[in-house]
Amino acid sequence: MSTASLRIDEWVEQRSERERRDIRRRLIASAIGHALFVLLLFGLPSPPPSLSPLQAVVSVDLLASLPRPVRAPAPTPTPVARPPAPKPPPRQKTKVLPREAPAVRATPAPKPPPLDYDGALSSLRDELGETAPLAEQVLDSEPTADRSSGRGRVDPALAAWQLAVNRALARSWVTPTEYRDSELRTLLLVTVMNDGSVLGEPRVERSSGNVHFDDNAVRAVLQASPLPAPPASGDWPFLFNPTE
Amino acid sequence: MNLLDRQSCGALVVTILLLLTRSVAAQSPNPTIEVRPGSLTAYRVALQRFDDEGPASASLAPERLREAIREGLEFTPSIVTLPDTAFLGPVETARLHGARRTDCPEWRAGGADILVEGVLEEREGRVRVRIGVWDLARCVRLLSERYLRPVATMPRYARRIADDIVGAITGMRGASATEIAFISTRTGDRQVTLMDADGGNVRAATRGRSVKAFPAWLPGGTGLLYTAYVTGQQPGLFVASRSRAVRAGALLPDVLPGEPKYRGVFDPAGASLAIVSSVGGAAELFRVARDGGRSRRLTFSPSIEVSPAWSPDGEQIAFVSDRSGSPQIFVMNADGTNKRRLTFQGSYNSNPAWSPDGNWIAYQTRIGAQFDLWLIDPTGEVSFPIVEHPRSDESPSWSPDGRRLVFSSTRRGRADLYRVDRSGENLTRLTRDGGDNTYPTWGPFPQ
Repeated sequence: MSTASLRIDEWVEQRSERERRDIRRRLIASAIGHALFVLLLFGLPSPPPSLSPLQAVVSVDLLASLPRPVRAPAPTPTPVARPPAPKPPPRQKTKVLPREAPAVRATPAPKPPPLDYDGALSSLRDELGETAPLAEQVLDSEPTADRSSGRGRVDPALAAWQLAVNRALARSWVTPTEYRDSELRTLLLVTVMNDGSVLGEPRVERSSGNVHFDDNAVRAVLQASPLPAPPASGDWPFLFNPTE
Repeated sequence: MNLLDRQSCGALVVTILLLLTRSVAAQSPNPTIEVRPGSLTAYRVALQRFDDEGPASASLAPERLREAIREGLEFTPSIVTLPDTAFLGPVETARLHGARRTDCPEWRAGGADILVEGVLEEREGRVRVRIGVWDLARCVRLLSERYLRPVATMPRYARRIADDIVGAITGMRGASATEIAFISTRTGDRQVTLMDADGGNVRAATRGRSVKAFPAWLPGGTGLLYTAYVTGQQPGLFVASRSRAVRAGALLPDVLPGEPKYRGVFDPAGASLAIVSSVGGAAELFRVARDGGRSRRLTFSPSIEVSPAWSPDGEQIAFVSDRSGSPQIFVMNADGTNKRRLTFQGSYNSNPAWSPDGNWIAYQTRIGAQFDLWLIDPTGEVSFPIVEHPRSDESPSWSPDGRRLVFSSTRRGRADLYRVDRSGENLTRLTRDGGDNTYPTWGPFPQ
């Protein structure tokens, strides 16, 4: 037996019975505390963030108001001049995907002018079926009112932030055309501080099943950080939907 | 008995509160922000000049290699390289970084999403290239790879390096190093002809006076299958080999003896072929084992059945049949069961081509007196045009990465080959020599 253990035994022997009980109690309490901690930390599944109710999702359409990136358009061969052949009547049963409409010869629709916040809020209200004038709504609403009330009123501060976030992410989220007609969806949980900075790396709460698409969403958020200052700091679920 | 004293109880309460807070935070009371895409469709890649660690007498200039890789990267629609003048970091690779680097913010500030660094070293006629690919937002390395090739072949091999880089960035390898086979009359006869995916390096793959048609790749790109019409004989299937493992010449001459074999297409695994042959004068589809051991008739109809196209999983075959009165696209299981009509619009639909991801079938549809290219999903619910023009666009074939299609078009008078992004954008003419260029088929990724 070593000298060290002899010393501990002697020390314990020298304690009174009351002190020994006390030590035992503390040890038991400590063990229970640690066990609870481990159990709660790893034993309980983290509930998914609240994204399910569609009405709670405020979708801000992002407008191709930003200029096309760096890639220059490829030269299109000059078509041979001749009267176009008569086209048959439109195919009735065919569902045409919205994004595919601009095929090679499609005439590009005029781009909408850049939206200001008021215009965007108005669009949002139209989308949500609201009829009250914006000014009235702004006057009536608390900054955090009706955040999760779905089809009810949208908090203007929140809507403005969502629009600003979408604008910021439109400048950083690379969405190749092969993703744009896909079913891929990634849900990130992003911790946004009061000043808009993103704390740490966004967490993939629900993967699209395509790790590169997930990484791409994470990359977009980090690239866009700091985001516009949010209505409130905290964890914000970001659902990346590549369809236009 | 008071087993837990006040201090211990306090610690327990704090622990539980902390964990409850975490649980509540994970539920995130904030509403979900739905993010929709903007106009960015391409990753912005900063491609550094390569550091040359070889002797001064090296024959392969690093800049030549970099430019070859840049061309390969730019081939992919979702990649754009930044000019050196946009770099906020060093233009040349000083050294390959290990698992960490500290200058990501500088590169990000310059507008780059991805950084490619490289070092090459030439020794005794061979070049060793080391590449690092970095995700600058997360500052993590996506790829670290070494390549060793003879000096003479390295510039061409650079396309493969570029395709690997594209794969590390997007998850889908690039197709700049692939090839396209087609039928060309540029030398006078109808020969199977090859070219690089960018339209360069055109060369004949067959010779002889017989008329060739319907080229199709062997799995792995080890050779080309085609139909030859030899004078005095029934049309038959032949192989042009580019591998010692593949025998060139007539394929399966003893299968369906005495009957014409109009067209053959290997299944994705290369174990069997779908063959168009004739029964009582009507074209029918057969499935034949590659070794000729087993053959199975797939269609039983007095109508004409042609143009078989395998699904990428080899489970289904799209084909063209006029059993409904006009040529339409049909789909069946690979054993011939469960035939169903896919197209109901248009009076003449043909030449189906299944996309590599299995989600779309490209085909040509007659509009007036010419053909346009459309896509339809394998359930037949969604279809839409992808290439429309007053002149005829025909015979679509997908690139192996599914990002593009190649097709034949008479929009300039004679038949030329064009490629187009799957979005219908970026139409590019590939053939510039004389003659008609038809029946393109895009080859697989090089092995």
